[in-house]
Amino acid sequence: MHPDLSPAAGEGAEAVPPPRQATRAIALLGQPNSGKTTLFNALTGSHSRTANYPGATVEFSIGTLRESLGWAATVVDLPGIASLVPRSPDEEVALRSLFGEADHPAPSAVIAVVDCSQLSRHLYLARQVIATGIPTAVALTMSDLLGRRGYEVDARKLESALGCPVVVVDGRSGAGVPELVARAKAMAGAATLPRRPQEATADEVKAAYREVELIERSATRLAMRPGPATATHDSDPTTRAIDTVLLHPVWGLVGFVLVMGALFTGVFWLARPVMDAISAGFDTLADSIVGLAPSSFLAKLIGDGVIRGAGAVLTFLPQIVILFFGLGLMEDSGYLARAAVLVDRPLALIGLNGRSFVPLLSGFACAIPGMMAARTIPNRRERLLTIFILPLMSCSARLPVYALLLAFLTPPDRPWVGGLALAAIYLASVASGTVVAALVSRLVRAKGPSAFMLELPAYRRPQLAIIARSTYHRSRSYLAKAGVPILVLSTALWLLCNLPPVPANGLPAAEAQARQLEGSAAARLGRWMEPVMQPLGLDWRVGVSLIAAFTAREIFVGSLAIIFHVAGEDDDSVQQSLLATMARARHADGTPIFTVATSVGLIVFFIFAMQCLSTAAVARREAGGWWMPIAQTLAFTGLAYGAAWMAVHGLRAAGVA
Amino acid sequence: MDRKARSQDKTLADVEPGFRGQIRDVQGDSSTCSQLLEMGFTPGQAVALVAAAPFRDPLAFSLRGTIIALRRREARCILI
Repeated sequence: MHPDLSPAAGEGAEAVPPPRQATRAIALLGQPNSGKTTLFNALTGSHSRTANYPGATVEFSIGTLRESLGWAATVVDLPGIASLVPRSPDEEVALRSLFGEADHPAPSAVIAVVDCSQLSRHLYLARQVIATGIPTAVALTMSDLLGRRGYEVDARKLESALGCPVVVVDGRSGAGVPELVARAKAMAGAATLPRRPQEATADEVKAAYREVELIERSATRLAMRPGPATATHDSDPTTRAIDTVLLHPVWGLVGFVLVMGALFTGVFWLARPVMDAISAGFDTLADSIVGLAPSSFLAKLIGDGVIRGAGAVLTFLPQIVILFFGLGLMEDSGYLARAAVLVDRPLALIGLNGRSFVPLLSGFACAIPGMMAARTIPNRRERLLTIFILPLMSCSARLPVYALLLAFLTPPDRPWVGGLALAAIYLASVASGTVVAALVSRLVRAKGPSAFMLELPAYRRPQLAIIARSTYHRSRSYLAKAGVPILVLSTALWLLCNLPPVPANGLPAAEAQARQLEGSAAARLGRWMEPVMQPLGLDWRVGVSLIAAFTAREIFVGSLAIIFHVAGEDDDSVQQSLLATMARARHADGTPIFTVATSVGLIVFFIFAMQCLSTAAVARREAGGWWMPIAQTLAFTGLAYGAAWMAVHGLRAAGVA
Repeated sequence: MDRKARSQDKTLADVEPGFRGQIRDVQGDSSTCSQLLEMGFTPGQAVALVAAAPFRDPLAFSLRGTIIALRRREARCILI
């Protein structure tokens, strides 16, 4: 779900690494959802993301061991793998790192994380790792889950059966972690260069499972505790009971709609007051800076350019935080995997996969983490199709644009119009993604079988503190990634509008500002593209804002504010005065620029257009070529222009000005 | 297809939620087969159908201490 935006966003990752010779690397390896990332946090004290959705660690995180553990080693948390033969790009990432093919050396020791509530499946992988010759220690997790079934595991017996150290650990409390590190340290050393194993034949797999079953039987025993014991191979009874409801043909769908409804209600309603407060705060700050030296170029640059630009970014941060937190809650509780199961069938009909669900849902926050999460989709065609339609998901950067245009369109006596229109916009986003995916999957023939095999982890009470920390880190890296270009661009745009300086010559302030803009570099640039804007009923000033929005969509609002030069009245928020200015804005012939028709046209444009440079860069990287972002830009921006033109002229023909 | 003829090669795609039984064999295209075997769907294993999603696809099976969801197409490779 959700991958981090940066490969190593944890705090441990920021510590200065010790000199290279002294550094040893330990790799954490295990099946998806084996408790690796929780153990990683216990080992490093780092707040890397931990999640209860298989495949959450899409890029590995690197941290350094806690000092109290007494070993200067780095720890690499690899994406979960099912076997040593990779089936998806995230598994390939893990194996390249394990076998020293990545840009850092092969680990000097591996901690194989084994969930003892499903010992046979996890030992199957652990034994493959041990067989490669890499020094391996086994960490047994989830012993509480096994305990609930009335069993306990005998680490000693397991140790002699596997021929390597075995330590029972609890990543949440940290129990067993010092012993695990001490034993891993004792055996770490130069491994003979490990080789990737060949894919096992069916008979070899069956034989290997027969062996681990024997080990499982000898190493688990009935615990001394009251109550009946269930068989060791039984899954968690509580989880099964919940799943009969949450995967039920009727109740499962009801639950799905309720969960999604709660998530999006939270995103829109809970965030509102915080967003208003942030917006007002930045306006006050910008006004007071300009007020310090009203005639100073620098004060205006900082106040109107930089601070209002930063405000445009931070205003929609609450929505992103809530979306990330909601996703974290769903991941950590285990529900996200169920949601993927529920939508697999409908998604398969349009050429996607249940595993596309998490990337697409992340796309409602930002397409970038969504595209990275697509690495967990094994089938190449399904993965590329998911990446292709991701820019159509209505990301949070579009929200400020919609908020502004809907505020302009919504009559004051009918406030519900805006809410309804926003719901329609989200529906249009999902519908367009569906239609495009269906069309592309009809056009491009399928190669290779499509599969959906997903482990549904046992339900657990979500660890709120960990989710809160991961939300913080994901939001922070999101800001770092999106914030800097936005700041730079809004500053550059302000400069374009105010250079070269046009002397005021004693004219009144408003007229001097108008002249300044007419003579600015931005105006020259904008007039050049006027012919493209005219069919949409818009002028060059909106055109410049749209060009700026191609670098990042949310810039559109700040850019309109700068170009139409919104001088905030004393107690008005920027949005209020921007709305008033938009209502006053006229074409050269005196007709208003922002009408119902042109505003709806703009909204339609933003629904479809591929406008984000960072997304284009990530699309190129994940698809392995520029063809992906180029195809997206041509298809979606062309679609956007056509649809916006039809909206504007359709509305005009229908008599809506 | 009539039920009698099918009983000989009944698969995990043919069972109702609540079913408990044993895997007899895994057959089908090699890639799906080897993936199912690696996940632990091996002959002799106890398996149960926990739930079926809407349209009876995918199916959630209890196996080796955990729950694994498979599409019907994949479940059809597992003979019981």
